[in-house]
Amino acid sequence: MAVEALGATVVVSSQRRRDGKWLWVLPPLLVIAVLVVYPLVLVAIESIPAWGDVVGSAEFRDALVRTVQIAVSSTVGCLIVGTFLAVVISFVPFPGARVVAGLVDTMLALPSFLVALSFTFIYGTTGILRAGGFLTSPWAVVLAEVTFYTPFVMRPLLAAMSRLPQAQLDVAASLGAGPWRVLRQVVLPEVRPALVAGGSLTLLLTLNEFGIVLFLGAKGTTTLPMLVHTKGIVMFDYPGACVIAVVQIALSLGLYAVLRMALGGRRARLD
Amino acid sequence: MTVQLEDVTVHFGNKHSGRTCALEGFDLSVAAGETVALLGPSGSGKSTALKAVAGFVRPTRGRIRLGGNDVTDLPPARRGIGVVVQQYALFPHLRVADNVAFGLRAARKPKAEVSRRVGEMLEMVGMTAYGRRFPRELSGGQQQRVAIARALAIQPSVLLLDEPLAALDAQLRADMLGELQKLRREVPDIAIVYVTHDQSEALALADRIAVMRDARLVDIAPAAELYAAPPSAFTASFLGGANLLPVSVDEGAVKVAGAVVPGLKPEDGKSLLCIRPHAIRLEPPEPANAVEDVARLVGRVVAAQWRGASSQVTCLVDGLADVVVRVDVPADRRVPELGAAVVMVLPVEACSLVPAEVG
Ligand SMILES: Nc1ncnc2c1ncn2[C@@H]1O[C@H](COP(=O)(O)OP(=O)(O)OP(=O)(O)O)[C@@H](O)[C@H]1O
Ligand SMILES: [Mg+2]
Repeated sequence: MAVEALGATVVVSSQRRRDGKWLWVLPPLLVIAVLVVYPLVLVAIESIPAWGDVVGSAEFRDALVRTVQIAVSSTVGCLIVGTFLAVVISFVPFPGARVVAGLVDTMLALPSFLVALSFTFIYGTTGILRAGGFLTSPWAVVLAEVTFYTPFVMRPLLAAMSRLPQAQLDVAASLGAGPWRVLRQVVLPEVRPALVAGGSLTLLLTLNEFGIVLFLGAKGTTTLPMLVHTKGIVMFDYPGACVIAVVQIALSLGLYAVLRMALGGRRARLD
Repeated sequence: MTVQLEDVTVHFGNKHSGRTCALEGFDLSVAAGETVALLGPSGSGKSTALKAVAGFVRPTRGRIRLGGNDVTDLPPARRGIGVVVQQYALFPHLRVADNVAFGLRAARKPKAEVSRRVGEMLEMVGMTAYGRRFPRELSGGQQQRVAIARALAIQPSVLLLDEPLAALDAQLRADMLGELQKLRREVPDIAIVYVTHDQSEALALADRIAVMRDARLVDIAPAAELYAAPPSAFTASFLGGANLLPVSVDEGAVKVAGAVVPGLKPEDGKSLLCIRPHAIRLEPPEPANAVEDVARLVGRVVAAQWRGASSQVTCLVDGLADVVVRVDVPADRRVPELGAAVVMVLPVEACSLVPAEVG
């Protein structure tokens, strides 16, 4: 009896302490629930009757494929261009490297549709290059997204490269490695986490990109976010829009989870 | 292969950030098979001299020659020099064996040769069992061995070591010092430049020691010679922590604090008496027996540090303000009390004269 009572008090006291901590978690959870989860649940409920129609439609499947295509191509483009620029800024001494690095930060602050808007001035039917058809092709979207999202890859890369010990580059050179070999075998493997982080962020953002596609690809290129917009706002097919929204969210969350798992696993092994 | 630095000067920075002169008119020649230690306090330009030889920094002035060929304008990759830096700089994503193989692969050696040579190198540094590990899975001493194996794998004719033992604890440092001596015998023909600020490493490993200070070479001589008869006050105190006592010359005799140092000839421009702490004997203040060839300084004890095998006793000399004399008292002798009056006995054969510091 006494022992039981003692056990009970112990449990109570520890529970009370844990309860105290939980209280602190409640307000933010509540905010998230009200502001984020609740609307999402509404969207999901709203979408229920329209699933069959939408998923079966060619329009939806085309948009899904297009979205993934554009996101993947843009991300690959960003990785290539971003790596190249980061390497040049970090390792090729030229006057103004600091200015360029500063510009990268400024780019991060610009709204994405601005890039799209500026593209119409260069490639548009009345633009400098008069490339007409190019602007409405998916490649214009990819090019604009590469232009806009490359800084997102460069930011972590530049940080990682500035942390590379100079001694390692020196030693690699003294062992007879040329610049290309040093880049491939010393620099890139060591900045890989930054490359992966920047790349996955870009993939997520391009997957959900709306502004650029709206400005540039209105005719030929329909992506999932575009479809949500057309169905929900233009055609008043609200349930249909919700289906696509749910797919979009699932795609993003799924990708995020996969990336987190892959990255988390690597980090755990590294430490 | 002989390494030669001729009048090498290195500046860092630019007009805006301010220029530092890290190396000034530096001349050095290291023969094949010779080990030269660059010894000097922090910031004296030792690493910079090494980097200039390796090609990591470009001299503002002067030439660097390897085996007689001017390599000043060659990139590091084409100099064929083995370099071990202070923090080892192993490639963290490569296994030990791949680290060692790095230079061989860069030279596009055939696979069979690479693996044979990697095996040899790992065996030489006693790391055969660790080939599959990553650098982060090694202790400091093991990383250091891998760094040496990696540098020697390319069969360099010159090996540069920048404070290779500085990151290790005292015990390991002593062990590794022995290993470096052994290693030296296994590669008898290469020229080694060994940077250190630890005089015991320099004395143990180097044929010649180059003492550096403020971006300049102060003295260079065979290790034993530099220790026995230091040419400058700086070298005397930096190498072996010698005591430096101001002398006066009176009727052709050298005097310290009024006491004659018998048998020491005064020399022009040399106004400091140099004597090692272990050469001084402490005696109670009793009437001297005058037959010995010694100088006797009267003073008192102001501090004593026990160091195991000996104690270091710090004394003040009567009549010499601001001059402390450090004396090593072996463990089997009695350490005088703090404040006790003592006589410091300076055997003449351990005394030499050095020029006073200029500036
Ligand atoms: N990359 C650099 N940029 C600017 N100044 C530098 C650079 N490298 C070295 N210096 C300066 O040059 C001087 C000599 O440096 P160095 O690294 O050769 O010293 P050291 O003798 O190796 O010292 P330590 O024993 O601390 O390693 C120092 O004053 C240092 O501040
Ligand atoms: Mg140094």
